Amino acid sequence: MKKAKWSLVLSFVLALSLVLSACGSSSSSDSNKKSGGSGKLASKQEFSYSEMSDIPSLNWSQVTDTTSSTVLGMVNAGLMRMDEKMVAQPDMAAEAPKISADKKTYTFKIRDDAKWSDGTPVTADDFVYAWQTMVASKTASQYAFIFPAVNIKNAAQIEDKKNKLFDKVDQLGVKALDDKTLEVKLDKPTPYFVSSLANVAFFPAKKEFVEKQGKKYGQEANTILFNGPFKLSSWKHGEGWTYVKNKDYWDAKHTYLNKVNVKVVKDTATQVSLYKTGKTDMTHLDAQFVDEFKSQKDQYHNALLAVNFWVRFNQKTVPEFKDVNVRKAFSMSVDRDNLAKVLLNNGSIGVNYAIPKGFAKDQDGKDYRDKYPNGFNATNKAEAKKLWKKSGVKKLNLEFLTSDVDTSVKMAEYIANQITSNLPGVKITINKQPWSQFLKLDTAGDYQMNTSGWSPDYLDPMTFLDLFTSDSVYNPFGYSDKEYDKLIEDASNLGDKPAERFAKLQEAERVLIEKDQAVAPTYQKGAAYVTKPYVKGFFVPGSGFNDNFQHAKILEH
Amino acid sequence: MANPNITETSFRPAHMDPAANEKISRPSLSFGKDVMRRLINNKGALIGAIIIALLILMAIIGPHMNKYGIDDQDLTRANMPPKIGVLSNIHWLPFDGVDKNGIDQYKAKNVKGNFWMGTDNFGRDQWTRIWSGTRISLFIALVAALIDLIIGVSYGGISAYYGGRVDNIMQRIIEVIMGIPNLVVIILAIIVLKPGIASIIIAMVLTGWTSMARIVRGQVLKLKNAEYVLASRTLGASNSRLITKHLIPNTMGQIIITTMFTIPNAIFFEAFLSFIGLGIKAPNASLGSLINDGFAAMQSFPFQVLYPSIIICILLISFNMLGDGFRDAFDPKQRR
Amino acid sequence: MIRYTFERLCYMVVTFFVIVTLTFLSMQLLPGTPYRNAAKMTKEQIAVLNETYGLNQPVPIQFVKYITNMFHGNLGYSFQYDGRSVTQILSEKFPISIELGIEAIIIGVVIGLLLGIIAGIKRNTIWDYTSMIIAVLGISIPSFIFAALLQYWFAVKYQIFPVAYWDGPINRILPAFSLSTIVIATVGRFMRTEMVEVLQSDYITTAEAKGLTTMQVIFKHSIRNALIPVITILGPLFVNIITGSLVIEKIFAIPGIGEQFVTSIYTNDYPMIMGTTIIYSSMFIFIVFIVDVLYGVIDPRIRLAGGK
Repeated sequence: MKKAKWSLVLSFVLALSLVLSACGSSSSSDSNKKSGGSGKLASKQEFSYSEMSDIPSLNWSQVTDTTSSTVLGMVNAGLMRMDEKMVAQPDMAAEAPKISADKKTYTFKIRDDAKWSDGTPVTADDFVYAWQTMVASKTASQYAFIFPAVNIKNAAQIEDKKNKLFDKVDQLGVKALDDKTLEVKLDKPTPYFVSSLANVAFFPAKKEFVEKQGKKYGQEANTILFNGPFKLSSWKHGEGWTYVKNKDYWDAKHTYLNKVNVKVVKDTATQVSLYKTGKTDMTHLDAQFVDEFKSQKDQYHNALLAVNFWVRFNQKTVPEFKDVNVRKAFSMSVDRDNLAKVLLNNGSIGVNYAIPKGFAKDQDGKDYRDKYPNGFNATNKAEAKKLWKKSGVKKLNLEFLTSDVDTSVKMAEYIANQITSNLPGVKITINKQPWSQFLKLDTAGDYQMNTSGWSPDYLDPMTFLDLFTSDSVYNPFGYSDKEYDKLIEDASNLGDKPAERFAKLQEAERVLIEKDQAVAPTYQKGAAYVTKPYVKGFFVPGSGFNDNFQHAKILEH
Repeated sequence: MANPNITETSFRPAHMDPAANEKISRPSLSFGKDVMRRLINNKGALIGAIIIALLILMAIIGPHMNKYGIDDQDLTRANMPPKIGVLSNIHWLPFDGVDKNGIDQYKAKNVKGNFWMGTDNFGRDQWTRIWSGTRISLFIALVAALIDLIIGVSYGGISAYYGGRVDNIMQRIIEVIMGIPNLVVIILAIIVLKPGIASIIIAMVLTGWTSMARIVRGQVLKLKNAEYVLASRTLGASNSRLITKHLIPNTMGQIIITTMFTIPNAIFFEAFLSFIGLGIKAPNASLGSLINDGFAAMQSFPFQVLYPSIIICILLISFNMLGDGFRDAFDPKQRR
Repeated sequence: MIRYTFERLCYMVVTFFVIVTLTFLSMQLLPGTPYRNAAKMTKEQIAVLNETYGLNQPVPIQFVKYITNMFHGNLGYSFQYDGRSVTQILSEKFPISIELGIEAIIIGVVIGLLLGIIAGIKRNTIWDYTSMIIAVLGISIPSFIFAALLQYWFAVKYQIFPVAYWDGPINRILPAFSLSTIVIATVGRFMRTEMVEVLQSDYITTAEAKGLTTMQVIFKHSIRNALIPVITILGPLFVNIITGSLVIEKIFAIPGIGEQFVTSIYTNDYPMIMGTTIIYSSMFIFIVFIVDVLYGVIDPRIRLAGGK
């Protein structure tokens, strides 16, 4: 008898401690003192934050993830660099490139004061070497595809095993005219070529150093050369790494931080706790922490990323999906605004379009999205019901594939519920798989419907739209529309007429979503993060890097 | 010190009834009856059993006690704190619909109706989900523990009893199974079989039975050379009689404790699988997946993790109390 | 005894090879791709990569190659951490997990034995109930909840201990304690059962009859005999703690092997899976061996039976 009482008492104690721990959380942030409004720089320019994962690699040719890209973006520099507004600015290039009349030859002048951390100058040959390495088959770069994607001359042939140019890297359309002049030839005019050069895949590398380090290149802080705003002073695998300011960087006068400490912390709650206790100056937030910080205007920030999510309908495995009415009925059944506002709660927005907004701009700086700002086939449950009836499908049992990423799972659960509760006869079960298994099933088209996002590889709608052509390798789900293929084909040959090209792409997107509903767009990803009030100039870029502290500074506090 | 008053005549022979010597003063009990009797007399075990019975009952009827289903999503009522109509005016109880910042969410969001244990981030009723989760967790744990028990006891018993070469080979097999990190085996099994209740059970059993087998073997090894077993053998008892009448009852204490550990372990393991993304299939829930989902929001919406945690704790404490009772009841050495 | 030990050593080697082979084969069943960027590559590009990494060869050939390399101390190169050698990664991460595991085991065994002995001796008293409730709670609270509560109370709220990281001795306390609850519970309960049994056995009665004090009886006879089953479970428990420390490692940002291992399975990082398996398995086999030998040392009956 005694024993039983004890256990009950103890479970209540446990329960109580859970309650208390939750109640206490609001009061604990009072350690964050208000910033001294002086705006003066603090004497100690040191910045700390947590990163979700360790750096897989600092070898520019092996990078596949955003953590590595972020680090490389801070310690190295390519010809161009994205600014806060996602406009490419010259970095290692001294000025904007000279473009030939046929828009197929670009000539870059490299800065005279561009230097590697061993004191040698950055030369045009460093770019030629790095780019040729990227496309060589023995490098096994998972980003080699970007060279043909931006139409660099012969890149496609060099990477094609059946072509006679296979692996003949010296045939790549890149040449050093002299030490400081680089000439790049393209197969056809490509308006997004210059902006894509901010991508890590186009960074330079110094041949002698890379070859001397061999396999060790980019595996430690001292087996890589730096030419960016920061240098890595230490890298303890699994624990974290430290940046120090690179005084030899050409724009060093605009680098304020002397030291940046990064620690690997894989748990978001721990990241937030570290931020609250003042161990870090910035942290990303999950949905459940947003409400806690939202009211603290001097700390809370939002960013809209150029990443779009959608639901794919596999027409090859589900014959019913061949009927456009079914696809439209599914898409129109899903209330996306609630999805973004309540479930994701991180600045994401519910969308009905395939190309994210604030990402691609035409020559006059007008956003691509301006023509169809709200997308197509808005949510309309009654209309969805009508279309469903029209399709004549009575029963449909589906399996919905999703990766185990938390937001994807939530999304799948929500979407499945939205559809099944609106359309009679539909049953959806969720098949959650770890990421690498998901990737395999996804690329093989081995699913009925699935959901995932797509992040752009270069700043042009084409990086999204060429996924859906009939012959695209990214389209194993059986969507095919001649009209769409034709529009994309036309657009890709209009590189010299950007305005017409944009019109074609906008029309293609309309066909893709409004007419065909090949996929059901769901949301454009947002990022919520907090910085201490005394941190200025830090931002989360729309694509490419996780974080950007190049121009961040610490105010007196 | 001798008392001179006592003489030989003071003594008389006692009356001896030879039949009385053979009389058994307590009623004769079979082993099973004895176990039941002692189990009922053990208050802790009785309470444990009653709580388990109540939880099982709630797992069956709980999900039907209100109008919400397990997947009735409505984002306009997401993350509502718990509210119970009759208790809502007693503010020190956490059932008045007020969140941790003191805001009555039911008024703020204009939500009609009460959610006795609040709602999750999809606006689904936690009461319904918790009880149906209890059902699934109990099912997984009991089935896994039962299979572990059957395989483990027979394997360990045979291995130890026959000893020598048989034992040697059987132990090497166990070593191989235990030596492969069970995460590989489990993740592989679940991925290949597709996540679901059956594959979770299979995956747990694949590696789970070995600890039972090792413990049973250890006990039997210890007992098989005990004097009373030798005596029984000398008297010509058969192998099966030795195993069922002596070895098994005497190892029962250990077997029951181990099983009582297997059940919570199985419940946790399921939670762990949820943690690494291989849990139960959505939209179904288990206690593990509920705790796991609630855990993410522990600081903002504590009730989401609180109630499933309480249920799991009560469940496990009850199983342990019952287990203790069973152990005392089964143990022949504690027979009085 | 020497012959017995030698035989056991031979078995260990055989067991080890069976495990390595089985893991290698079962790994082939893992669906998925080791290439993180697979979504953006064409089939041809993936074929070229497979060739570079030798993944297009028949499994037996891959296996022979792997074993040959293993004998030369080369466990291959990781996919996730481009080209870093598996041996190097393991040598960085493994000691951290081992250290954490040992600390947890020490804390757990000390507290567990204490609880178990007290409960066993003071059976059916408030001491017994309290000890056992502590032990039951140890297995009733999921470790990640317990760890998060500890972290919240002692690191965020009162800031006595650091929130996370693996810097100094003070960083060890919270994670080691969170990890030890299962040890406390397991050891405590086993110890109690054994103490109860031992205390009722004839030789204890004899010892008491000889006039030994209660303390002498407990320390000389009871504990030693009660320790046997505890030792059998400690070995597997230690391995479990190290492989199962993933959650604790994640919450306290500890760069150990547990988190790494799950990630390598999920990312199909074959060389890392193999390398970690080899380490785990050899550790496990070794521990079982040690336990068997210790068993003989502690319980004379088993030494006799085994030495035949």
